[in-house]
Amino acid sequence: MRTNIKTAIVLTVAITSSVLFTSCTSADKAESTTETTAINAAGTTDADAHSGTHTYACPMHPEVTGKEGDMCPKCGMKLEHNDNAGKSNGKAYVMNVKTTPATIEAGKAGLFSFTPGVKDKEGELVPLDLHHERKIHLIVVSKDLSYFEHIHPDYQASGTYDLAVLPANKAYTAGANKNETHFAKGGEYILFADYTPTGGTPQLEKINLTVGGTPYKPVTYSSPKLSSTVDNYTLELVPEGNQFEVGKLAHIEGVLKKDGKVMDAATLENYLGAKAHMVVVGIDDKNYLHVHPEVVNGKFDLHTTFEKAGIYRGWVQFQDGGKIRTMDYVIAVK
Amino acid sequence: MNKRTQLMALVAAFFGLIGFQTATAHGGEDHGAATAPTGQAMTYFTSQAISDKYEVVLHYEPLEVGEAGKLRLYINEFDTNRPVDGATLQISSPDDEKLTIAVKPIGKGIYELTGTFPAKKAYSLTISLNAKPGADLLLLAGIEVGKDLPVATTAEPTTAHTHWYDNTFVLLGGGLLLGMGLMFFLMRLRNRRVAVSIAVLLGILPTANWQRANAHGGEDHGGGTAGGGATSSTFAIPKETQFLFNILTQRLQAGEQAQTTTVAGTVQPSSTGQAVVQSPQVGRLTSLQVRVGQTVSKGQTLAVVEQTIDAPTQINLESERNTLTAELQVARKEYDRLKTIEDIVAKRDLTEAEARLTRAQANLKVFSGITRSGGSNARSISLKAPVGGIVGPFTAAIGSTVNVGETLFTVTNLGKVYIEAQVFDKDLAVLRSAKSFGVAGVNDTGKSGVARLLSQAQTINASNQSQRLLFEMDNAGGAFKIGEFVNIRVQSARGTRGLSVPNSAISEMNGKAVVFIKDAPEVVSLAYVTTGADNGQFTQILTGVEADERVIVTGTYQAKMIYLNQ
Repeated sequence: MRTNIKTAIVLTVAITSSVLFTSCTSADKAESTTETTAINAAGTTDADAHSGTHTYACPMHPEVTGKEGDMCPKCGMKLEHNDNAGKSNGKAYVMNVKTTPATIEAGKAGLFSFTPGVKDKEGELVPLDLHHERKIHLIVVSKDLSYFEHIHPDYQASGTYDLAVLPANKAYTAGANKNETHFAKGGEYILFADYTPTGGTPQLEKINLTVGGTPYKPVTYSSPKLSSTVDNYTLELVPEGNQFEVGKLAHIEGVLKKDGKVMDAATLENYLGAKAHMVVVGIDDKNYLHVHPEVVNGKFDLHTTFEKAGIYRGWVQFQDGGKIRTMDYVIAVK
Repeated sequence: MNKRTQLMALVAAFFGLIGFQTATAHGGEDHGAATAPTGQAMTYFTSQAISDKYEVVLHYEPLEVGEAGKLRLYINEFDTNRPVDGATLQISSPDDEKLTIAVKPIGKGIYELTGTFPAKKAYSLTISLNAKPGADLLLLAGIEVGKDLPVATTAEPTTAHTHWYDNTFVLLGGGLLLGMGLMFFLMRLRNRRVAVSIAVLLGILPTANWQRANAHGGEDHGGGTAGGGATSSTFAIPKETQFLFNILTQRLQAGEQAQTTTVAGTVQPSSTGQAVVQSPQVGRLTSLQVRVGQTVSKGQTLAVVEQTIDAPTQINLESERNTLTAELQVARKEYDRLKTIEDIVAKRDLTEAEARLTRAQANLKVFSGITRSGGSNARSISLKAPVGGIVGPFTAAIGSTVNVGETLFTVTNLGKVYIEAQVFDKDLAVLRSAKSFGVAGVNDTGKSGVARLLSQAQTINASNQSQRLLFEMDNAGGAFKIGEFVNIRVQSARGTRGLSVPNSAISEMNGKAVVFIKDAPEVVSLAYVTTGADNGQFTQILTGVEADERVIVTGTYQAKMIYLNQ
């Protein structure tokens, strides 16, 4: 009798414990199956993505890769998930520029037509990705870096990205910084066309331009200028350690003041998808750098690395009250 | 080791085992671009591209190599999600120059592409499109040819998620073995009471409700995820559904939102806006020079009334005239006589005679003035419009007799009207800092005007404690009629800067305000927001959304239903 009771107890406990285990896990299984149904465009399942480690790359400098949360030392942008980073699609892109007339004259009407293309594959259409809300960012500087303009050619039905050059007496149709420009003086200019072909890597085309007419008087920059005032806004750049050093990731703090009072940079309007944009061009080598400041505690926080010593010109653009303001700087890197 | 410690160790070991949590929390994955809603088998492939103007989505069923395949292209405006109609499309492929794709519009913003893909590979299509928002060039990448749809994954979980504890048989066997082993030890215990209580406890334990937390969140869903589990705030709305339900979006931009309030009012004629024309005396209407509804200018003759005089009055008048004429003759004679003997008469008498003559002349002149017709028994009076305006309905007819003070015409000028509004205390703050007053009809919202505040209230309506304000409004077209009810939208000069959305964008979920944000062409996410001031049309959003995000403003209800049914 006692043995029978013993056996019954043994069986009861054994069965209940096994039931307990199975019931605990059945819910998990249902959960895990639903997670695998998301399928990406190429038809691969999530499992593929889960199995490998992710690559994070700078959206502007795809050669810069790292892990999540890292920052690009060149432009200070947060690295974004991009498993195709560093894998070129094997195409060499080129930006073809045509001007009408062949030589743009200062103070006269003209037209720039930009056509992105693939080297050795004439006629291939190159769709461009949006980056910072535009397909092409065109930076126009005079060779002495005294003149700066950031504009955006517009795609036309003809298949080119056009930019109108206005005659001296004609005002901008929809305000400055859009798809029009003008040249008050002739001389040497440099155009930087910043674009990303769809499926390709970011491209930068440096185009030298000679504008006819009375040339501008070149300005030489030697002493640093780290505070700039436009309208009632003042933006002061304060580098960490109070100096810019070669090859070191520079942390630059930007203190914005409006009417003499410190203003929270986070309250600025978005301009092209960011609170501010900074362009830096070297006086000597005319190397171009596009930096995106972050806003930390109401102040701009810029990160960049200067690879060579020398004098740089910098321009910061931001928008408030519907108006874009361009601040200019002279940066001495030692 | 005594028996008690041995027992404790055993029990602890057992609880340690059942306490073991099967941590399969799902988080941190990047799902990439997905195409099918969760839990459903995929029926088509997707490829999409966006620009600053357009969103282009391509849906296609598996394409066979060398066979004509049909693909469906959805085009909508990027900011508004409005389908793009009548687009001119030119489609080519950078992978194959010879590839030709025919385009046929089959619906609003929907185009059918037909083409034969010669090779088994992933194609890209360059879409050159031109429509009302402008020209654009986009690339649709990764169009799979010769590839079957992935099998619905609910059937077979992938190895990545298979664990030993997922297998029921392993668990059952393991549990059985464990239980038997446990009992073997229990049986050997001397203390039967302890053994039995443990056995009973183990029998009861499984009846407890074991809930495991299934954490799901924090995923980076990448460009186009179809949403995770039911707890995710991101969900998919296929393009055809968006078009069908007319889901439209608006891009958030920081702007000034003025404080506004609406007060009700009634249109009244302005002080110079309405005039009546009355007959100054009894007479007969001999001429009527206007029609009902005619626009007249100030001073224009409306009608002529002929004064009629009866016989006794006529006799009285004539005798009065004779008396006055006689008096004049007497006065003149007396004056002339005194004048000839001027040297000897008293100066006072001469002055008196002169005054008498002057008075008699004046009296006759006044009399003749009144009875201008000079003996005839009738005279005419022209009735003139005192203000410019429109002649209202009248009943006077030619030939009818009119009495003194009888109103013959009403001339109304709607060019300027007054609006009387009753304003309550709560609206006064906005009214004081008001910048503009917009007026709209209550019944006919199509008409609008701009009013000016004429006078603040001097008294308060005792019955409802409202203040009576008077506004003046230009109403050149005469759209607003006297007596009409209108709404006056008072816009304050004080505005607050921030993000605001149309009221139609906000819906409610679990008692909290939410908006739906379109993250990608076919992906929408739910955002809990805190709302600020509501001006009747727009509500300010304090937290929960950011500038440049695209918020669903039309079809919000449908989006909510899709979210709840996911």
